[in-house]
Amino acid sequence: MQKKTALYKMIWREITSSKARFFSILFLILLGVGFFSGLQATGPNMLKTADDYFNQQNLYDLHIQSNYGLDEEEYTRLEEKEEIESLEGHYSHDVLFGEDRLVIKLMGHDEDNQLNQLRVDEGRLPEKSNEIALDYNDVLTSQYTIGDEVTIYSGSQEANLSDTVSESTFTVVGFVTSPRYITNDSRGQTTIGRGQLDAFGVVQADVFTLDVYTDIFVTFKASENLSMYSDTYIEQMKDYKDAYEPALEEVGAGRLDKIKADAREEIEEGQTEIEEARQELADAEQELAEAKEELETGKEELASAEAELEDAFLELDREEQNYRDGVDTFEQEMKQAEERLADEEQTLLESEQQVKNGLSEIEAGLNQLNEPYADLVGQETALLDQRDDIRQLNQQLSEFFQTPVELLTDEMKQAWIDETAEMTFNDTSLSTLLQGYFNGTVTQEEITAFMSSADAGLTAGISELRTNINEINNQRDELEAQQQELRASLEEINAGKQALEEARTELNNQRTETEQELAAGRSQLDEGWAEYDKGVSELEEARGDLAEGQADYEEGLVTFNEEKQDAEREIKEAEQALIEARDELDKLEAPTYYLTVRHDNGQLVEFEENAERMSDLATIFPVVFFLIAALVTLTTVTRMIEEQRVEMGTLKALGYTDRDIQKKYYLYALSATLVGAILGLVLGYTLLPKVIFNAYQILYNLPPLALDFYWSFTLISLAVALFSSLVTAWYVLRKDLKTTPAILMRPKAPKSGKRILVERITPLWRRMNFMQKVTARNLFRYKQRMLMTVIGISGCAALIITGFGLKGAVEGIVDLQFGRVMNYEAVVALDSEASSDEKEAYRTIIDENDMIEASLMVYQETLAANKSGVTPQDVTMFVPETPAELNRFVQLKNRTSGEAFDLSEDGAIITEKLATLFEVEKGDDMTFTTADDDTLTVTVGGIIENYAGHYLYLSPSLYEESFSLEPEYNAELLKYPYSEAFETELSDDLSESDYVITTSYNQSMLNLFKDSMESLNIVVVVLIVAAAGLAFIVLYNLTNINVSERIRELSTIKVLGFYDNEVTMYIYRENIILTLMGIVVGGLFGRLLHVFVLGTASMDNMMFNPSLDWTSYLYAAILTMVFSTMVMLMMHRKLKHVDMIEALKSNE
Amino acid sequence: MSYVRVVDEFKRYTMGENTIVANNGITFDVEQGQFAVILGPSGAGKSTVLNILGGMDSPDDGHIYVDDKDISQYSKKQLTTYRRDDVGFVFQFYNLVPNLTARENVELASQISPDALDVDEVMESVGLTDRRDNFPAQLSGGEQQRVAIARALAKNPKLLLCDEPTGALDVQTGKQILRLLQNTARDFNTTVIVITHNAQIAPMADRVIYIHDAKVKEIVENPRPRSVDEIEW
Repeated sequence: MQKKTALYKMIWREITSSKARFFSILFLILLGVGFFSGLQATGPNMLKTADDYFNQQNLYDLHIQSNYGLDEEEYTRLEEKEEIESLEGHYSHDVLFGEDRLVIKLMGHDEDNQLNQLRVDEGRLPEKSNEIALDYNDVLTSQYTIGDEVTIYSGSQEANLSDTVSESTFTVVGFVTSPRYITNDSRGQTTIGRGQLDAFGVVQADVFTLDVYTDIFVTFKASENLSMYSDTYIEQMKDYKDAYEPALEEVGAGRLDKIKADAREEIEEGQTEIEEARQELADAEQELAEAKEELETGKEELASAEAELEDAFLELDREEQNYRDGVDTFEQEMKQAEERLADEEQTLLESEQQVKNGLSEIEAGLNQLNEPYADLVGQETALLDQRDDIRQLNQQLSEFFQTPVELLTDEMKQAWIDETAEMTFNDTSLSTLLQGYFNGTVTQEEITAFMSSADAGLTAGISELRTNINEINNQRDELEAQQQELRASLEEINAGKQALEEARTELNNQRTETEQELAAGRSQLDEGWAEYDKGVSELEEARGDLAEGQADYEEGLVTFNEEKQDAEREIKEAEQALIEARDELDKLEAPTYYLTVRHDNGQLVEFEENAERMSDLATIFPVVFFLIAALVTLTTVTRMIEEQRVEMGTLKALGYTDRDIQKKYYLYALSATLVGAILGLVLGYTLLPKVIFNAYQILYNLPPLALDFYWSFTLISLAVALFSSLVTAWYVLRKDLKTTPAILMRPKAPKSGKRILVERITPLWRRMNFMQKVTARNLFRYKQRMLMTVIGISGCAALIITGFGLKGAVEGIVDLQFGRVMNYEAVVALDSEASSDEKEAYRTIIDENDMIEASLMVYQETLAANKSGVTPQDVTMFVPETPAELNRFVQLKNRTSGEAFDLSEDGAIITEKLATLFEVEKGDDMTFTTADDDTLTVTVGGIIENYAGHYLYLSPSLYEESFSLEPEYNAELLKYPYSEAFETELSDDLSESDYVITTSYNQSMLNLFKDSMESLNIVVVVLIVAAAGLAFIVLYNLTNINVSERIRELSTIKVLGFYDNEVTMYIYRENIILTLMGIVVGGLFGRLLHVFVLGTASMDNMMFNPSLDWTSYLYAAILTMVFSTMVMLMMHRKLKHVDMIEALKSNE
Repeated sequence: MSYVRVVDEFKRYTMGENTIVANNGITFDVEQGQFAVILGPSGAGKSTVLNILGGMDSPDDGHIYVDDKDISQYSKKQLTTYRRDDVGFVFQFYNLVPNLTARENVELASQISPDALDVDEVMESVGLTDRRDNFPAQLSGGEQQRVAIARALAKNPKLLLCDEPTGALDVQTGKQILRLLQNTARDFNTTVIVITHNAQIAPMADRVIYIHDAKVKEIVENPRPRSVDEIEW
């Protein structure tokens, strides 16, 4: 064996010297293999991830629920089964949660739980009874954080929360994920609230106060080594499920008896309670009646007392009158008597006055007399005195005269003078006379004469006076007689006075006496009145008491009546309830058991479908890449061989065998392919599945993707890659190696210019400018390359169209289904067993709501459509009450022909996808199976546009004909202008109706749908990236070949003075045209690919929107142009640096 | 002043660790309308001179004046414009665009040149009126070279540069081409510079510049250039 190191060196140099070409092949193979292996691996990887996750978390294989809960009996029965690996009873209860009244499933968690293990994402699991761990989904994480206090509420008015759980307030301690729910949003159905669970919450199992388990979870030994997506597993689980159901039903029968007995006891108790209540009611009534009687008696007594009092009053009044009259008479009499007395007195007093006046006058007269009398007496006395004095003096003087005057002393003289100073008479004083005497002037006789005259004078005076005195005495006597007289009449008057006084006294006595009498009468009367008053006040009191009694009684009566009504209603209700309970008890059937295996969980199946869809896509896209890789390899190897004819000839001439010479090219292609394939596998198995899975992570709550290696995909992709490159190389080489070295060594005649077809169309050709002509010629000069470019570009455009188309197709159906096809906003599922009151209440809610434009009662049932060779399909049957109305709620139109249907005429209408799947046409018969295994055969009257799910619309007459019974309408379609606020309000209203089971809103389904479609964006991105890669490689490679092949030409025009951009455009003008052609072809190709992909990716119960939106084409065109421009810019840089001198130096 | 002046021009290439001096202080003049021949053996650096003169390359040092403009200081863009407007090239291997007819190859140049001559007239002047719609592959070597010359002339260049224009042709055809070039210089007053290693051609030039070992060895003024027919090789 010779060493052919030179040959290998040559190969290595070839690779390094033509990197672009080598890497073009490498990258295309990489893309093809990467896409193929990656997309293929994604599905299985996703399933494996889910499977691993479920195994790790010990997800149940079988989930058992029952409408009676699950008791020890069931548990024990299951424990006997040997095939069971583990068995656990769990508690759960659907409640309303927090201020927003979210609907959550409260699940009990026990440390010892092995099944459905929770993954703690944040915080921890509850360790105390007042702690809760929440679902790690957006609904809750956006609103709550660890440490928050939350409250739960009962989901229905009848059920008490405390019957189920011991706590209602919890502290959030963590966020967890349950393997039971793998999607982020959907948590399943419930019977409370809006009918849809928002999330779950985990509390300690002890918090539940239930006697029975709500769920039993089972894992089987057999499942341990099986993938849950394997057919064996699915079948095995189905077998278990089928076997367990009857076994449990057996247990259920026993439980029913027990339940019935318990229920009967309860009913009895209830009955007794009702009796008691009734007795109480009767007692109360009795008491009231007695009270009423007493009141009546009291009233009567009061009335008679009142009458008595009235009599007493009258009597008293009369007496009072008498008394008053007596008093009046008495007073009058007294007055008269007094007046009389007063008159008499007056008269008396007047007489008395007269008398007294008389007396006074007399007195005065007397008194008047007294003075003159006294005067007179006085004068007399004085006169007498004087006379006496004179007489005495005279005596004395006589004696004195005896004594001679010369004997008289002066003193005696003086004493005489002094003593007689006052002795005057007739104006002669004695003293003077004496004086004279002493003086001797006067003789004693004079004096004695004087003395005698004086005496005589006095004696005359005294006599006169004595007359006057007598006269006065006479007058006095007269007056005194009158006085006497008057005194006698005064005496009389006084006697009269006395008599008057006596009469008065008597009167007074009389008065006193009468007054005493009257006072006695008065006090007697007063006593009577007082007694009367007392009687009145006593009566008043009695009356008050009676009124109070009456009020009490009336109040009691009202209360009683009210309470009686309530009580009677309650009793009635209780009785009704008892009757119902008895009825129910009679009707009570054995517990129904709901056994679900993992595959009954729609989320898991949907996930599986998503995974499988990836595998479907995986088969289509790589074809494009492989095809183009083959084409690129073809051009590249062709070009290589053309460039190296001389070398080949030389080698051949040197004696290398054809095999050795071929080896270079094979090895070149092989190494590019192998390296590309290996890199493609590496990236394909790692990057792509992760990228796609990350997109799904928006929807699913799964751990990071478990990667795996798959021999099958590896070998297939390698084989296809090698085939596409090596066979191409072989094809090119085969031709060249047949020729002799001499011919090979001679330069291949340059491909001569040829007139092209367009030139023959002279008018057109003439109108083209020089550059256009050049471009046109060049285009047709390299047909192979032109073809390749067009294919490559069209592949790129097609991929982009498919990407956007796919997105549009799937997203579009949401809008079409909910916008065009289904024109109602909500379906209210109704409880046909509800009472007529409840039904009426519901009707009021709907009828009184102004926003609701229309409503239609329907009978809704899920049927199965079966046909061999077709997967059985669930079909929703709607039997509208008024079939002619249906087209207001559902668009009854054929999609292609536009024919409109009317249910009342056409009888049975099915949806398009169903018709397609079962190959049914209008007029054909189609058979469905009901849940009770009845069959329904209808003649299809119309096939209508529909995208999601299968529907059968049936007229009631046809229904009756088929089932010989009237449809029992169990749902209502509602139509109203959508607004979130209104829907919330409506949902609140409807949740209060007992007639309503659940309401499903098209808008929320639409949103849910749209969210899940978000993941399609990543598919679009992946496709666009791939398309970009493809466009780059193809354009770059081909332009590169073009440039290298035409380097002399390019150098020439450079030398001729073409500017850089002119040089680029000289060659790129062709590319632009080819790109445009590629886009046009790609449009067609994309349309085909789109249809193909949709066909492959389609789901049985979903019809994608097959029309391709023009925007998809637009995006594809724009993006392709962008990629083409980017390659142009790269080529521009390259062409700028072309060494024109070098290129022009040598001959070819 | 001479129409073309090359003054102390240096061009060096770095090949790995070695520096090869391709032009080592080249200096020469060519007058307007002269038919000049640069003569030298292979590898002497004459092609480098031509490339620099033709604006395809720039000197490392020195100045090149064409019509009093120093093209050595030109930017790439200016050089392109210079090539476009002022220079015509004729190559040893014609470098015609195979996909274009003879006439179209000429048009390729005339379309971009501001003072372009009438294509048909040029075609006629090179005697190719009959063959103008033929593709290069359908033409003989001489015819192809004549197309190349027509293409160069169609631009009405100030300077016609020819790199071994007869190198790939037989003697007879070569003579025809040379005659055409000589006539061009005379008739159009175009400065023609031909580089060749064929010393036989020298006598027909107005000025011969001998280049050897990257330097100008000698410049010979030929007061009476001979006609092509008088020379043999």
